[in-house]
Amino acid sequence: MSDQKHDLKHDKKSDKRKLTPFLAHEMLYDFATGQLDKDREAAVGAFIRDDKESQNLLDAIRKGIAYAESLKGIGLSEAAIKELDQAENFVSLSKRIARWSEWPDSLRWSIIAMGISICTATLVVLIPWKSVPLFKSGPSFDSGTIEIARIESRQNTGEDPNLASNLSDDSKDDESGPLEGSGDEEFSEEASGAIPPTNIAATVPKPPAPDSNAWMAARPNPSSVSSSTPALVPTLPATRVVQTPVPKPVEVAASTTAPSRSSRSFVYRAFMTLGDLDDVAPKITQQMKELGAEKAGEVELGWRRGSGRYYHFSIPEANEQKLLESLRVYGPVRISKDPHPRVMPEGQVRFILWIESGT
Amino acid sequence: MKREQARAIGLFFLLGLMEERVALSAAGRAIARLKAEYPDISRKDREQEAVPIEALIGVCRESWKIHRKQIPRNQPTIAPESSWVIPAGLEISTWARYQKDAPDEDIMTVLFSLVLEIADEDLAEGFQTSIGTIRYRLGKGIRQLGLVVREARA
Repeated sequence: MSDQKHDLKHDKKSDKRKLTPFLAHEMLYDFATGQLDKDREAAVGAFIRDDKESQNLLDAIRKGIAYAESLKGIGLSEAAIKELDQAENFVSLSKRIARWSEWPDSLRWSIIAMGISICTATLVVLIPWKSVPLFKSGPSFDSGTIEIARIESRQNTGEDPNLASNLSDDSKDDESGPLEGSGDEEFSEEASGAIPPTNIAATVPKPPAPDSNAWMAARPNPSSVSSSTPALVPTLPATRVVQTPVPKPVEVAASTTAPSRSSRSFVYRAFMTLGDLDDVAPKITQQMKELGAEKAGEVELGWRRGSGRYYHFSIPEANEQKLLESLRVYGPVRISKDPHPRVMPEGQVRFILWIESGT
Repeated sequence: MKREQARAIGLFFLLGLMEERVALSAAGRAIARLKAEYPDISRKDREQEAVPIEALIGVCRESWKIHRKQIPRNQPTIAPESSWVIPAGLEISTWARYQKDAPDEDIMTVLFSLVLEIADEDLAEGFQTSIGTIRYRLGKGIRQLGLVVREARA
């Protein structure tokens, strides 16, 4: 009973869905490609059977589909495919270039190597090696010490073990320069281009005994020098006390003399070239001594080195012009006044004269 | 992008515009645009990685609109013989006749659907329209093409 009702409804529905030619023609492509539901397909099929125009259109559609599918067989030439494959515009090109992975391996590794080299070089340049204790060269600077004494020659008397050890230590320091054996630290530093020491160093000429080699006044270290040491000082031909802790009175004296230091912290550097140096050098030495020159380094005035003579001395400031005049008698003198951390006492100037043998 | 996709784009423009210089220019522009939009495909996978279909359709439509203006409709079409290889027995002049008269949207739909075998759903998304519209355009286009084919064989 219910099946009969359903069939009736279906028949009524089928009657309502009877196709017009327009609808049938529009559905021909779907009919040809099998995309219609069964009812529609049946309806369109029934319509086509009775309609000649629809049959012609269906035939055309099938031919059109067949022709369109035959177009799939068209191939592109290799040149055209290559041209299309390399097609780039500004954006795609810049994006491709910007991609690190797109860069050639050789270029990428070169850039990495160059980057590492630049970083390493920058680090080496920027790191303050001199402030790194491991790489510091020369003696370490101790702000609590001050060099107040310097002696010309070293003679180990063997009487005082403390002095002996000090002298041997100093000898090692002095031998480090290029002028090994000269004993003149300053000339050694200058010749090697080393930076002069930054600690305050006061050089005091030795006034007491003209025949004595010691010309520096030294303050004994209360902790290391025994009470008998002051008695030894005049008798020792060479006494050197360095790196001694500075007692308060010295610090006060240093601070009071500080303003005048800058005006006296310099050295005259003179240079001459003389033909008959062997004959002239003793005369010059004699004249210097007459003008009150006293050797300031550790070698005697007119120390021979190679074909030249080296004079490192201090002289009263009043005799400075006289000295220059006496030197100019032998030949032209080139002279320069250079700043130097070593401060000379009032009324004294320091000279470093090098006379080269030649014409 | 896949090499097959580059070939498909080239074929789409050569058949759609039927003018070698303009077609290759349009195809190159579309491919470059896709390369710019999808640069993350790594160098090794470029040959295998496919560009999304809807993006391909959108870019091709845009390039089509720009380059279609460069081809006058009232002049005889010259098939771009040097850029493609036509199978024996295929009469390309039939397509040229259809391409000359059919609307652009129909030609594009027929090419995408029947030549490049892109599904109707993807076409609808790429054309930003309904599937019904795509099927309507396909029916109309194929019917017109079939009539041209039948006429040519008659």
